[in-house]
Amino acid sequence: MSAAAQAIAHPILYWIKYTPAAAFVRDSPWAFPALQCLHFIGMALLIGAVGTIDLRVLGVGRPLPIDSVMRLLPLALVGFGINLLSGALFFAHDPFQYAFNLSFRLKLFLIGAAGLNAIWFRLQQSRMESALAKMIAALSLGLWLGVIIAGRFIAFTAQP
Amino acid sequence: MDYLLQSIQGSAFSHWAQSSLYPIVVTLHAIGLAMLVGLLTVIDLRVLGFARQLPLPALRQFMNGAWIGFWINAASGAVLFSIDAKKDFYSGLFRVKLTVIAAGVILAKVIDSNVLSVSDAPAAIEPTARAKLLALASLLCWTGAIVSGRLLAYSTFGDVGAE
Repeated sequence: MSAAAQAIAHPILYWIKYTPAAAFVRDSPWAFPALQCLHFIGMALLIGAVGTIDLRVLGVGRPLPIDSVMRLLPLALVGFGINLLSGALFFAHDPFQYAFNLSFRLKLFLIGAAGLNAIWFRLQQSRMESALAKMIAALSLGLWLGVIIAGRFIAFTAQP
Repeated sequence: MDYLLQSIQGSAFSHWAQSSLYPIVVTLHAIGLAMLVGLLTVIDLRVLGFARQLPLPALRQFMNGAWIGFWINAASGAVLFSIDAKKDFYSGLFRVKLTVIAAGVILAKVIDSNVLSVSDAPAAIEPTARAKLLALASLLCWTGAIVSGRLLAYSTFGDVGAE
């Protein structure tokens, strides 16, 4: 990281680290394990809903009308919301660890890519049986799989 | 028993798994969890009345994905057990986890054969109160499995919360 970037990032990370929420997660013996439980529950909701939609577009469960599986989208958003909040608290409890962790950066990049991919998917709404829609669905499964892998590897990635 | 647990934990396989496989095994365990609990949660919530437009019989095909997730986790879980056999065996959390998983598997089988296999239209749209009770119990079991499993990672011989 360049000196200029550090000069901007460090005060922000320092501020995040000493917010009351971050201090609470650090000081409470229960907060971190409880947030981990929530993060895994959120993951199951998000991946379950997105996975069902993607698999249906790819042809699994054909008798299911695609319009009906799209009703699972709110479930995916609830899961995403739980994980955004619990994930933000993980970050805040030790921002200097996460901000420079390569697995964490890869995870954020993959989530961003999966989000853009989901928007692209929405734009295909009237053409869900097209080859392009199938390709986007396969990409979505791959990206979320990558998110899980990168997320698990945060704990095993040494700081550069 | 202790001798058995000690020999599992002290085996060459266990050491090899701990030193070179551990990150891969916990990652597989998370992927299996997402498949198993994710797909079963979608099915259970549908039975409970969420996204009523989804025809129940067609959801049966997603049970296959859930079972693939189950076997990924049975295998990766066995490797994780071999690494920490003694701690796991004497942990109340581990016993709770195995119990709720067993109950969850039985519930999934019952829901699959009794609730999702309905072919008559009314039952395919509005499941019975008994079916909803099964789905609720299933959701509680899998939530319990996630919570006990996560806390197990933070426990050292039963004292949860001591990081």
